[in-house]
Amino acid sequence: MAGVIELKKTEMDDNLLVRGCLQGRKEEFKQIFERYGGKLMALALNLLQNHEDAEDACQEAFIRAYRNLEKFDSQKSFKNWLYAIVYNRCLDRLRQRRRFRDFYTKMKREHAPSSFGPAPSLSSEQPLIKDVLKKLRPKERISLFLWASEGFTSDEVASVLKCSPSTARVFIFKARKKIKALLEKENV
Amino acid sequence: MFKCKVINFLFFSIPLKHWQDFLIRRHLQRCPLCQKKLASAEEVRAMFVQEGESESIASLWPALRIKLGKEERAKVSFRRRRLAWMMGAAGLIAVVAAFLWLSIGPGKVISNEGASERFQIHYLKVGSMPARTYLFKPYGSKMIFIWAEKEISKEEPND
Repeated sequence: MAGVIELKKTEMDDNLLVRGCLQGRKEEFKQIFERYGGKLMALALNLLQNHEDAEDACQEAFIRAYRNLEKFDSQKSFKNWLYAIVYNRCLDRLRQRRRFRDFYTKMKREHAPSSFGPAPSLSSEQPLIKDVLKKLRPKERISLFLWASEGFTSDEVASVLKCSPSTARVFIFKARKKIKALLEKENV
Repeated sequence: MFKCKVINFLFFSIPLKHWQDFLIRRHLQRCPLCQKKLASAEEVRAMFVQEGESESIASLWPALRIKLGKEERAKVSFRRRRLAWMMGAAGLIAVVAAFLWLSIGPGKVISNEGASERFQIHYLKVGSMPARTYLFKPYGSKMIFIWAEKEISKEEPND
């Protein structure tokens, strides 16, 4: 019960901050940034596995949020809205990477292989997350992250992923099952 | 155990989200044996990068503030441009409306003067006799009635 009251209070605070931003006060937006910046950065890092990309995605997401604050429905959760923006930015980045890789592979196949060096890595050399997590699809990974690290319910995960709560539950279940199987395999 | 195997088989053999969710809620989430095959929240949390584990994001704010300033200026200039366009369009509409009003609008007065010049009957006969003709134009109407009547020669009463 206390958790629910606390959550409602936070949501209310968020709405106050949003109203302040809409009146042109940048200090309020700084508070939003301080409140959610770290969490969103962690989410972006877990999805993109690269500091630069994660920073860019976060920055883009905050700018997009600022630009579209007027469109935010105060009846809904501001936190979930912000998470959804970051998630979409990260997906855009992942698509960009995939397109670049496809293009590079195609060029390498069409031209002499000697003129091409190794494929430039778009992700950092140092692995940021466990290899086991890389085996999950982005949707499964983010569902799992929101569920385990942020304590989101399947309804909240669904609102970030823009899918039904049933789908979110299935994502979480499958991801947990995969992780367990991989962990057991690692330990053997 | 057998039931768990059957449910797991059904879960993976029918890849419909609502069906899978039904199985999760009815069995997989509750059954302790099936739960053992799922990673716990603690196990999962340990794998992910958590808030505060990565570099501080405070360094992002100055760059973000500059970008937000640009965004604000762009927003203001966009609003100004939109206002200018709206005013221009409204002015243009007003000019066109005024032009239409003056040229073909209901404010134009149709004068009755000159009706006879525009409509002339030179000669009209009724019963092979020259007829008396009258033109009627009701006020405010575009219709013209032509009234022709037989010329009746009035005989002088005999005293």
